[in-house]
Amino acid sequence: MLTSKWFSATLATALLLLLTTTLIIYPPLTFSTFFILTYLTTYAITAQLNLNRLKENDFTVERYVSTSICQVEEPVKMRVIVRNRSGRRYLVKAEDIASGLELVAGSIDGEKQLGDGESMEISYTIKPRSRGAYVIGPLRLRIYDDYRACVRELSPGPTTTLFAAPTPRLDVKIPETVTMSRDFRVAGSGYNPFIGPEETFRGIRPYVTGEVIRRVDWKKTARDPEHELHVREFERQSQMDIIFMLDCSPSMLIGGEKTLLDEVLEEIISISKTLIARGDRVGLITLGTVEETEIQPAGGGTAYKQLIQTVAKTKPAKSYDIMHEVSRVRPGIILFIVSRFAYTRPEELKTVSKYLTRRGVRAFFICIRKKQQTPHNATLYLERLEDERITWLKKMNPTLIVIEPRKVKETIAFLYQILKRGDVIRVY
Amino acid sequence: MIILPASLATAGTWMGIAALNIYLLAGFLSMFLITFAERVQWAGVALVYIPALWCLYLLTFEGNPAPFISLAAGYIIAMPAIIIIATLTARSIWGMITSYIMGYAISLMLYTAVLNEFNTPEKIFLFLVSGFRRFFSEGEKINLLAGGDLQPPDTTLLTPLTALATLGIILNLMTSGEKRTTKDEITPTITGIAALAITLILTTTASWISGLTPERATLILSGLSATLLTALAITTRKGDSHHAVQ
Repeated sequence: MLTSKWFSATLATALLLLLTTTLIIYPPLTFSTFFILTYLTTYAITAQLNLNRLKENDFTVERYVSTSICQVEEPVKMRVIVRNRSGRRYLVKAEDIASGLELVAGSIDGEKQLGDGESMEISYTIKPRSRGAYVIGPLRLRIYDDYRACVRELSPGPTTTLFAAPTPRLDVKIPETVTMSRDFRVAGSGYNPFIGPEETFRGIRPYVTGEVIRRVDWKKTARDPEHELHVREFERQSQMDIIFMLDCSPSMLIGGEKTLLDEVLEEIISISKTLIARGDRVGLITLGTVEETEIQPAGGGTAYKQLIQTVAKTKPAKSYDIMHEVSRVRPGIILFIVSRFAYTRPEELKTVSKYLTRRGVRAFFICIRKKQQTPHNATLYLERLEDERITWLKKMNPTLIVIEPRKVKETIAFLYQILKRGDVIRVY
Repeated sequence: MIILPASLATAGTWMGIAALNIYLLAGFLSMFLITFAERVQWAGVALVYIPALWCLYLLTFEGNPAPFISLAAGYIIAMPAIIIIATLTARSIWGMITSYIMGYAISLMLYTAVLNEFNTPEKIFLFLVSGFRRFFSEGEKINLLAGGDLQPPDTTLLTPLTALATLGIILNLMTSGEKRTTKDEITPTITGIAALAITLILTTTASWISGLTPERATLILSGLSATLLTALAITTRKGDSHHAVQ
């Protein structure tokens, strides 16, 4: 197509030719205008025919990203390399598409004359302002002729998805000596009916090169007169299978700039990171989202990556039937249901609780109550209604844990420790 | 090169004016100054309002229209000079081409007026008014430079200057992009110039052979231009799915 400058020049000349062939007819001027118009049009036609010969694969694009999973506000470096393989020389203007991401440094576009085999590079740093799965690319290439009369647009190359998850909080620690000491038969609990608990603190011994640093006992090390490193030794790592069933429905979209859902996701990511680091297996089921997600309990870095990706792309969409959702959970799992329970009646919650107990699923119902810091008159009534609703839920289901969003991680950590010790859980 | 024809026509206009007066010069100067830098521009604005109000006073209270008409003629005569400056300072090819043709056309109109004895400020003003009257009234010819008793300027001197100006425009277009000399890049330019030459030869020959009047020749040119524009539209749409102009 024509570029704006060539288009406006051609249009203006055509209109002026109309003027010089009707109102102001003076042969030299009329012919001069006609010559200019002829030049503009014939050049544009030949240039366009030349550009039309280009194919999508005449330009290759390589894309490099410093990380595909990041935290909110974390800078991510992008590098895009465009290579001309058309066999001709062109003026190339490249512009990358990074919608929703904030440009921190560099430029998302570049312009260069590229001969055959030559390449140009665009480098920039972006950061996500909020949680989400951001698609970067495809690169938009504009190929110009010599005088920028015509342009051809191509969109070659791959796209990259950048998953931005909430930043995990690391302020809640779970002591490493916590272990299963009673008969508590849940999958992955580490309990062995013949030998008892599988993870037992055995003692402290000198550090051997290659061991994990987090096992270092710093107090003992500090007391050592020769300043040798000492590590705590465990007989075996205990593992539990935990699933977070998280309400991601539109009912969780309350709050200001940071919604209740975002706050809860941040807490879940934080506790998941802690648990996975301890060797437990963590899974996730999202409720009321565009794409229903069910991640089976798994451990290690891959599992955490999968959790981050799921959390990043979670989009609230609809209500859900909690009874239907819990029926998918297999027995022996530790299940944390985190929700406002806005779509659940008290009787229904009671039924679900009984159903899960009957199936051998150890379930904890955590109801999130977010109170407005400065409630207005208009919202006071809604606040009161919410309080009454939760009170009614709690009355019918005494085991329901009602907490603020910022307490999710430490509450789950507390419950986790109790589970490991095998204590009787009392909820107040 | 681009401003040569308009400059010559403007110079001819000034040389042909028989009765220069203070109002004509004030009109010219104020319109001219208004296009300059910011500080001078305010002086120009003052120069526009003070003579205009004075002339209006003379027209309404003393019944003397001559100063008012002279002032208006001064504004009109200043236009080609302003447009010539715009041609020289144009930042876009659109601006350059438009100011070149418009400057040429307006200076030509004024030059025609002076050559046809409309050589006083009042007559120049009347010439333009009568031209527009002829345009809006019914008639066979609507050319503002010829018809009736009007004779257009002689083409002998302006034709080579126009050719040079056209060449200047094309050279400007050719240097508006990146300057390169490889075979691939120069091919479209050569093709364009060749097409231009062929069209020129064909139309000139056709005009000579058939002895067409300038008016009929312009019709042929209009037809050819329309064909070229259609070809351009088809070509630019063909290989591209995007329709928006960048």
